[in-house]
Amino acid sequence: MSGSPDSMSRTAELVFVCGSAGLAAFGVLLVNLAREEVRATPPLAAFLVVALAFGLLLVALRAWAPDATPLLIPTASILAALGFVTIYRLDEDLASLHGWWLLLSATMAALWLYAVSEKGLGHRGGGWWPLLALAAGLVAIPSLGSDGGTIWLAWESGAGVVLNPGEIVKLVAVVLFATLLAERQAFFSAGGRYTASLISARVTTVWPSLTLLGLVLIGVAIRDPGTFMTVVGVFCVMAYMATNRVAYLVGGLGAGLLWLVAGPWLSEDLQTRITVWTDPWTQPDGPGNRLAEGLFGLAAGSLSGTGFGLGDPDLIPESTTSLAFAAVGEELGLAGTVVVLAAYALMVVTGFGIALRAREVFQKLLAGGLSLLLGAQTAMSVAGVVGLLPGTAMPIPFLSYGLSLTMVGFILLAVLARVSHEERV
Amino acid sequence: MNGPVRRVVLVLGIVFLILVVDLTYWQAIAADRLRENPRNPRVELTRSGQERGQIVSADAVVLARSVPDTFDPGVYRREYPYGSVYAHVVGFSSALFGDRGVEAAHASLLRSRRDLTTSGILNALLGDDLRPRSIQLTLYHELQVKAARALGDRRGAVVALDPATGQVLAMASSPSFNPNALVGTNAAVVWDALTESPDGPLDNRAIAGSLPRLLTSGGTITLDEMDPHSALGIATRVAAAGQDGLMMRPYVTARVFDADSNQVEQTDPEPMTDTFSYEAALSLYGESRPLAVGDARDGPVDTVGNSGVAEIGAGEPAAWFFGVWPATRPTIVVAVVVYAGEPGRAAAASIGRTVLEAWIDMISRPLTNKR
Repeated sequence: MSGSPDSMSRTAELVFVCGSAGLAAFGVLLVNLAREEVRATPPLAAFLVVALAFGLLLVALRAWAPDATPLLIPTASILAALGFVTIYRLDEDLASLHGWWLLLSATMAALWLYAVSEKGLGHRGGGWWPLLALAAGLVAIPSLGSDGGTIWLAWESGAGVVLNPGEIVKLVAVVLFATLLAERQAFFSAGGRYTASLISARVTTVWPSLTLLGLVLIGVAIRDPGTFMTVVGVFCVMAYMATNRVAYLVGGLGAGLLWLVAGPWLSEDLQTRITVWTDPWTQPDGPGNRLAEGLFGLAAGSLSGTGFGLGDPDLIPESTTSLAFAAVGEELGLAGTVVVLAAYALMVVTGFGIALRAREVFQKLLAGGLSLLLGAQTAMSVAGVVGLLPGTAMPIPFLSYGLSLTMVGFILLAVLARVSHEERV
Repeated sequence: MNGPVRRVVLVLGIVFLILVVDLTYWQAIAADRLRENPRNPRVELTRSGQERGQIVSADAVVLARSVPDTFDPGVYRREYPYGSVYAHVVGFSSALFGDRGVEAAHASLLRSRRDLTTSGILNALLGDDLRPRSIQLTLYHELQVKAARALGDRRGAVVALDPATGQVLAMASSPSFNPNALVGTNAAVVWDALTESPDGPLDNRAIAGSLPRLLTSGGTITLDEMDPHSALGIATRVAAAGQDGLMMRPYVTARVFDADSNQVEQTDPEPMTDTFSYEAALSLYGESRPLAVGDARDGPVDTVGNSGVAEIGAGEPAAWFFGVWPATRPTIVVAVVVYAGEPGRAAAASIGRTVLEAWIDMISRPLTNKR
């Protein structure tokens, strides 16, 4: 992982991405064959979507972050290809939408790389983070009044155009935390003895953003406990990384346990989820009991899986979003799920490697926080599927369907790549 | 600052390892158990098209078989040659509506265990026989056909029991249905008609409720679970009263064979935990009289029996009949229920006589179909 990647490794990346695009095309072809239909268009479209989205990202990297590590993009492209095939296998219309989301997200990531290429990331977040927080708030707040359990905000009703504000809130939170912790490292290390100096400082940027985020979180805490837990957990671990004070971890764990105890009183949905979690086998079927259905899917996959298009992942509820991992497990088996987990682990370790080598505290925290977010969200999603956590109903980055999830995934890649580039210049 | 970052990576690594271990548990170790879980909707789906074992009668007539598809030899279609005659005992195996009867109770024997599960692969490597097994019932085809035909389209049921062993020799219920219609095309329409019919053709009137445990060898069943005026309830009690109160557990599956026709299992007669005295039978069914039973007055020699009217379940008046042959050390107890009140008594007795005659005719023939 050391040494500046030259044009050779950029070319290797391109070859890998084309391989992933080929994988997507092959997977879609297999799905079609399983249905005994042979069409040229779907495999070609799958190839083009993956190749164009990640190709665009590679072009942007070559232009605006040429020294970035070559490990991230190919790994992400394999996961995105698997995700695309899984979504296609479950719902063709949703897959064509997801294709557009991949291209849109890649475009946004490329634009972001261009936007920061001029001045660089610098040593702190800069003045425009409050705007991001405001945007996240605007997206999140209208959805808080919707029915319990589902916090998805539908734009252009029907058609499956959905935006999950929770995903955007998580990304914004990591960036804000990195800014705050980098600016006030002394305060957090000292454990709050310099309260006065913190209050006086940067009233214009960090505090309004944090207040807004806090308000959003209070709402999210009730509607979307998974996102709330992630944000609180990510803050505690980032504070620990910034200060080396174990108290933050203890506090985070305590808050998590408290939430687990108090949560059922606040939210009936959470209560159902916890009941199902403690005993999925005797609970009635229904939307609340995703756990048993997901495990049935994983079990059907067994060691080698049924093969693309040959299983029954359509029996799993929410198989394109929060239980996408179970759908992958059914058709690719234990072999597939372990490889997928290894791919995530590779990305997370690469991200933390970038954090370790970063020169600025802010960049260290940013890369560390984003890697943590990727690792934690993956782990929480999978843990929810296998029943280690009470039904977190959390989509898994790159595999699940969703505009916001895909967008956040690509921005995360771009930010990590940019930090990686800056530490090598 | 790099120290805590490294520790965070270590913890995340451990978390991922735990996830891999847990996935291995669900996808390799517990996978077989989950695949058999009755709540798993895949159990129904994988069943369709798979080869299943045969179900044959005591006199070796095939009652259910799997026929390979003409165009795709890997896909099998379930076939019931005698249709409605065995509809309630043999039941059916439908991808859409689940299993009933013996098809349900012994699904794990009848199904092929050749698949890609961990145990499937391991067992295949160890040389286990994974082919579907066949089941031989205690029912005699000759007797069953006569019983079903005698019952006709009257609402009611017939049960013939071997009192010494508890073997069910015949069991028919009416109205019945054609199980072949539930595995073919248009099955959904047929199913809707069957489930919505006020006559309840899917109900087994001979048993009322206790079927699954009755069919499964080793299943326990108690006296209270058998309505004293259902056909099986009458037959079992009368049989017990004739042998000092000892009740034998009624059963319908006699033997299990592997694909090479070697017997691998046999159901042994076993007494039930409860007893039923002669006095109790007297108060329930009255004194049995030789031949003096309704239209069975000119019935076979040495037959005793009685008939009456009782309310079954939701207060429906039903005529019942029982007949025993021979009067001492009987080899058969026949019980008939006809849902028609007092006017049904003659019909019930006539049906009973037909079945008794068929049995006497059958076992007095030289050897051929002997048990």
